[in-house]
Amino acid sequence: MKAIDAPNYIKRMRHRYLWLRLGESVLWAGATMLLIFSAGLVLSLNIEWTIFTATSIGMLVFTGHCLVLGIFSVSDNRLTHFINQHYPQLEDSADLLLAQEMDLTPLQQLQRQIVLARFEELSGQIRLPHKLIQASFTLVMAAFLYVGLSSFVDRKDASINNQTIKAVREEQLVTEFPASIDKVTISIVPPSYTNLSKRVVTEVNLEVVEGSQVQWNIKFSRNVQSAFLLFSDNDSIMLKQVNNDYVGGRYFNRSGFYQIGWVDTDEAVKYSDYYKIDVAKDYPPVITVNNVQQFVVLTQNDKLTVHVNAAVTDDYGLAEAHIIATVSKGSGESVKFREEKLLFTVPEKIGGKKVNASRLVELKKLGLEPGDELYYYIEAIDNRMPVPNRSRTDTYFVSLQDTTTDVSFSDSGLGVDLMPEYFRSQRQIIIDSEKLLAERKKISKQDFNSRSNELGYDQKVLRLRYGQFLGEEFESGIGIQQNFSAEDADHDHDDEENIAEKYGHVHDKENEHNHVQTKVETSQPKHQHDHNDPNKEENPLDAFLHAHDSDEEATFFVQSIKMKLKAAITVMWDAELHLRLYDPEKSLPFQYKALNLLKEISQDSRIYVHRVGFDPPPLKEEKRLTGDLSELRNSIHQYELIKQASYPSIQAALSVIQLKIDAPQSTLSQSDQQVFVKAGQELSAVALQNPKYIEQLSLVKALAENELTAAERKLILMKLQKAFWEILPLAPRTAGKEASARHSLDQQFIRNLETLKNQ
Amino acid sequence: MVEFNPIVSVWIVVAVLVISTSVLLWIEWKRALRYSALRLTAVVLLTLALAGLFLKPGYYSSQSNEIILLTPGYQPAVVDSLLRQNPSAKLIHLQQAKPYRNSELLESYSKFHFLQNELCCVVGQGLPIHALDSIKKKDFVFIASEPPDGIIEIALSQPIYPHQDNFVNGVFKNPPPETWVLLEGPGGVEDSVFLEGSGHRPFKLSFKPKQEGRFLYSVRTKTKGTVVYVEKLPIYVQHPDTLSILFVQDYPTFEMQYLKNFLSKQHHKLTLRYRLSQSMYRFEYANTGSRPVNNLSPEILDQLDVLVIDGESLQRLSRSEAAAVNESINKGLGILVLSPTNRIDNALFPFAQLVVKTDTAVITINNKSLNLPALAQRVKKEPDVVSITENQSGLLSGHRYKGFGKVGFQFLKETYRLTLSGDSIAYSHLWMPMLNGISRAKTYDGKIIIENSPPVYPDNPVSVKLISRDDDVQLDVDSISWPLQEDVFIDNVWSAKLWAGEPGWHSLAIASGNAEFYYVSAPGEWQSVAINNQITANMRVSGSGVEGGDKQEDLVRKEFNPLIFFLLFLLSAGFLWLVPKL
Repeated sequence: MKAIDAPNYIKRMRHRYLWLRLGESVLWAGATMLLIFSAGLVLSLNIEWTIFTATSIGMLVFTGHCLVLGIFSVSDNRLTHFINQHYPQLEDSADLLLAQEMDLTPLQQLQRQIVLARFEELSGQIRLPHKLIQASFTLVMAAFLYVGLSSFVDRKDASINNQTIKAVREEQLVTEFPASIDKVTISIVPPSYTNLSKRVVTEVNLEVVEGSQVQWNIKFSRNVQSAFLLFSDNDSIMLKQVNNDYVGGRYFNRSGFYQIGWVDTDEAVKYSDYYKIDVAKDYPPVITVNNVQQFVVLTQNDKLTVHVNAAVTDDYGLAEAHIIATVSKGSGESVKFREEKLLFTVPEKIGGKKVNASRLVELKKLGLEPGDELYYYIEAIDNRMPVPNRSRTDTYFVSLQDTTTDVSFSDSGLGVDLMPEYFRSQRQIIIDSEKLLAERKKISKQDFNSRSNELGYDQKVLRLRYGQFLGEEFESGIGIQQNFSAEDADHDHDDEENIAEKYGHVHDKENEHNHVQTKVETSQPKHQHDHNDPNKEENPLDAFLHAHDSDEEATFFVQSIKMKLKAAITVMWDAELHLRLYDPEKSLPFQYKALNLLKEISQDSRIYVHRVGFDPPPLKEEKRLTGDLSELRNSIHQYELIKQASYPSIQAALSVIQLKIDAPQSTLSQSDQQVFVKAGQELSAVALQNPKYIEQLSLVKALAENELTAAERKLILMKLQKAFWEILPLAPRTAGKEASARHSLDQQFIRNLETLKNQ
Repeated sequence: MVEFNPIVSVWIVVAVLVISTSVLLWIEWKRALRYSALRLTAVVLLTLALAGLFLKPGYYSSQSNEIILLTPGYQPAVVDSLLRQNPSAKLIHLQQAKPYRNSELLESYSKFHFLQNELCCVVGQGLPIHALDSIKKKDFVFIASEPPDGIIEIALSQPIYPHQDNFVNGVFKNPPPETWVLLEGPGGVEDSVFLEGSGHRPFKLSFKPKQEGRFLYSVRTKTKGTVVYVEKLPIYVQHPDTLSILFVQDYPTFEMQYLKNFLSKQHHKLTLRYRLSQSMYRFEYANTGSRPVNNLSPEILDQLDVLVIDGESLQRLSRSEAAAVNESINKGLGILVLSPTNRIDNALFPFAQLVVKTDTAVITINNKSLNLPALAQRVKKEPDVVSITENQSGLLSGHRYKGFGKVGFQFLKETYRLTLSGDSIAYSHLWMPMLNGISRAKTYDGKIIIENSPPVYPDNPVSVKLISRDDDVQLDVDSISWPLQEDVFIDNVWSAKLWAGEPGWHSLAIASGNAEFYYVSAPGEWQSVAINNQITANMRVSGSGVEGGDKQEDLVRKEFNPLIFFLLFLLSAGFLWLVPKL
């Protein structure tokens, strides 16, 4: 070694010492941290707190160790001092190696040469002080301690983390399998007409198209004796074993839920959670008709075509769409219907999921004549198999107005048209009015006024007649009609009967269906009662009769006809007014208006009233009016209704739930579990109708298995309580009694009060 | 009068002072100095000062020993005013109350036994109700502080039956802006109310339980969308009793048929009597044994809860039957008269009627307007007529008390239309309150009355009153027999005091089968209600103690301040020392 290299060598030594000591400090600090971690495990300290403490103390140890050793203040001189102390061969002269040769005395230079030679010999042997091995050993031991403890100590925060993960999983609806189900693969084959491709999923909650075939492939973590699937519609499938997997499937047309069950090798039957099957229905086609009015009234001069334009959509595809048109001809009993199926002209073939179809319907080609009506609707059929879905629109009406005179007739058979003779009457009044106006100049004023007044009278009678249909009853009108004109002269006695009674379908007549015994009937024959009973108002059976004594009820017309009839009567009032004022000219417009309204009513009301006959049982003349009541006895009818509580098991479960929520530490007894099992059975029926309760079914199962911590149980009980409460229906309220305990003083008080009140 | 408390014997002091004064006076007299008069006076004063120091003169004065008790929530300004009025009053504060200047801590309520005579004033939220019991002499003045903000009153309509509207009434003191009070049941929120304005805001929440049993509802207070308070509201839903009802009619009507069907499904015991001829009847029995009711005798009527009869049948009752009905009503029977006529005896139908033109009535049930046929008559509104259904035209159904029973009327007709339209809920709202109102009251052999207002906290006393028919009565508290004390003045009225146990439901039962439930709230629940109850209880009992107890006054010896004598001594001596130098 050259003299010039010695200071550098010492400098390198110093650096090595520095690194050795730093490494030692790091090892001590690491060991300390590990020990603190171990202590944290044993004392179950919070992980964040443990990390913080360990890091802080570790840094303190590192810093402290460095400061104690003073490694940052180690200088070359200090190192030479150390060498002098530990290597006497250098004769306490190692520091001469650092000095500049020029600064040394000749003696010192001589000594330096000697020391340099010895230092060169020693240089490989100089051992710098450190405790790296001890520190490493301590660190390894601390690491062992930590690993050992972490293997045996059950950390609370770990369970908390598990709970958190579980909660997150619940939120994300990720299914958690029971331990022995290893893997579930489900293949879903939708019906071919949907053109949807086959899917393979591992998610056990399924969403399938109606009619899909679902195939399960279940792998268990260990051997099982058999496996099966339980479905909510009380169906079950035994799964076939194929290699190590269990396979089975079925078609689905309704939503529900299922459970995987298996028989373990120890004969124990185990069930999975409940899983949902949502079946997406194939909905019927949706038809939207554009720019078409529901009712269209055309005259002969209008363009007799109807442009039908419809947008038809379906979720999987359309098979067919067409227009069904019905032509109605004639009136009254002679009305005839002819139905035709009209295909759309654009497009020629219906297909695909969305179609804009149109057609121009020519009314003349359909044979529509004035007075006829066309009813049409659009029908669409989708490609569902085997039974397609159909849908149709509302019916649209096209009426071709008839301005000519109506010809109709009356038939005394089953069909009754009440209107024709009155229509003629109105027309007759118009003809007579026009005739009167034509003859005005030829006849005297007195004669003119008299005939005008008579026409006004006729108009009044006509109005009263129609008023009957609306329930407007005017005795004068009914009485007077017996005396007047030819058109009403052919009315026989039957016509004067109550029209509502004659043509209306009056229910609840006395003994209509022979419910009452014959003896009672004979004692109170109907006709006697109707005509001879002086206390008619007190007739007890009145309460049972559906009497049409209200203006609003006393008609058998639908609302629109009634409105028209009312309008016609109002117009008749005006017509009569002007006739009475000897002004037939002004009256004529009202008369025409009334005629038009009556014709519309006639067209609207193609009504057929079935005449209901009443055949009273024959009277036993020998017993009639004898007053013999000897065979009458008290009649006794006794019965008992068993009160059926709705969802009794759910109600029982609710009581248990409330008790357990109040006392969260108490466990579920065997009987409590039974209550929950029964409630689960009722809940499963509800879940069938409403799949949102499937989750609650799983909760019931978890409760029945009774493998929950107190906190988990309380949470589940609260969820179940909410669901059960929702399920219970709201029933009508019932009557009860107020509680009271009567003390003798109370009784005395009330008596005195009554006495005071009566004074 | 001045009295001395000498350090040594008075006579020695007097003798020494007289001698020393005489000597000093003689010396001063002889000294040829100015201010001789003043010097002599100074000598006398000096001697007197010394006498004062040695003899310790004092006097006795009467002093009040009254105590002002400071309870939590007291206002210092009030205490200051009281002390100005009575400066010698002693201040004591409860452990929960903040100490006041010179106030002492009351370590235990049991000390009231010794302090009750001195207690003159209680300031703040008052003493706990159980502590009030330990004060026999309650003639103290209670100066109440304001109860805290929040719900200060809460009460449930009783009894609570399933499937009907039940109500929670409360008062919220100074609700913050945008405050909602929500009532939450097992199935979620049942009702809510928005509170506006400050001061005492009453509120009413309705709920409709779906099942009998004991449930914990909760009342949530939300302010600006944040839940501020959640309090548990214990609710005991009772099972309604079945009624025994007799229908008397001349002929069956749809109305009665539907009502019969409705009631029989609810398992009420029904007997129906229709007249076939003068003496022949058709009887129908639903859920009860057959029992001919040819005559309305007292024996038959006493077994009924309600008699439903139409006006004509009531009018046609024989004199003995009418008397029996009248007697039974007085004993507790409820009678419902349908379609009453004007010719009915006023004793059986004591209502003043009005004739109206309309034969229909528009009523509102469950926020739904219904138009139903009705008789063209109404009953006049009178103070003692309880209205069940009414509209602007008058009362359509209702009842009034008659003896222990009630007489009801129903003018609505053809209500069965509601059931036909599927609205059996509205139908039940028309008929069930009526039957509820008039039915014979359920009589117990004993009735349990819990006198405490909720909330009841653990280890707090619960006062129970029991009205019994029997002398031999036994009360079980959570199945444990509990001693009872009979009222000294009133027979068959018993009382008991028990101590609330753990939070939760507890039961009280008597041998006859009657049972009541009470709920023990956890400490801290319904705090503002409890404080308000406490204030009310203190206000009620304060000043209600035994009068005539004279306030005793103590004679306290008060010494003159020795500093005065010392200063006097210094001044006198100083003057004497200074005079030669002047």
